[in-house]
Amino acid sequence: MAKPTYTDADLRISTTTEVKREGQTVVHTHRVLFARPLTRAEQHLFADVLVGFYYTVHFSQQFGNGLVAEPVVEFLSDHEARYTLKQHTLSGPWKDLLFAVLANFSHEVAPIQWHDESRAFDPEVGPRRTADDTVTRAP
Amino acid sequence: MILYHGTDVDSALNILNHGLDAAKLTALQLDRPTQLGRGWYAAYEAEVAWFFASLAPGNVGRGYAVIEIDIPEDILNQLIAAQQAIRSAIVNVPFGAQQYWFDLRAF
Repeated sequence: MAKPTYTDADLRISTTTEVKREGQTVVHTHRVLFARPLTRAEQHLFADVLVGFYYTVHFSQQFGNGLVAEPVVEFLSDHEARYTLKQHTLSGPWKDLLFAVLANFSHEVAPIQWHDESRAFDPEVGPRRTADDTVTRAP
Repeated sequence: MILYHGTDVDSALNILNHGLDAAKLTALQLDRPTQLGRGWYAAYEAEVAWFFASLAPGNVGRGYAVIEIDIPEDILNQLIAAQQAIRSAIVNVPFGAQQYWFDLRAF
């Protein structure tokens, strides 16, 4: 039997992430939907956490350093935000750090139901909390 | 065992239609930082793969997708024993989120 040729029609394609190029910079915007409305303090904390992520990447030099500006964080409503990152490259270990930052915010402050097309951070449907979550903690 | 790889649409179709291409991957990752080194990445959970798909380098204008890889567990364990694959937890998250790295020699 001949091997099938796959096309766009065979994929579930998401375009929820806005990605564009500005010269040598990639600008990408992500949508975050929370399970409940965030207070103003929680909204500020979410923005601070993402700005902190940027400075951690920049000054630690441990996660690749393609970020070129502080993230822009906007709340479209009290339970929906979007943030924009500007980078030279989308490759690198910064993705794991961003994943950890969002995962912990979701579990400690306000549940993130959706991050673009992903429900990885939703405590109700995402990966299960481990019995001893220290197994995933860095030493 | 099913693993999930999140990537841009063109890369997903390329893998589905032509398989993994070490030369292309090497060219793509040349001079770019990677999490566990030059190689191919997959996640144990689809929802985790969807997160990384949204950050795929080729994702400009075409969107992104997640593809499944069905790999026999004994083969995966052989690759891990031969150090051609690594099972790794994403650190500092409050749940178990595993990712797999495959060396180019494993293709």
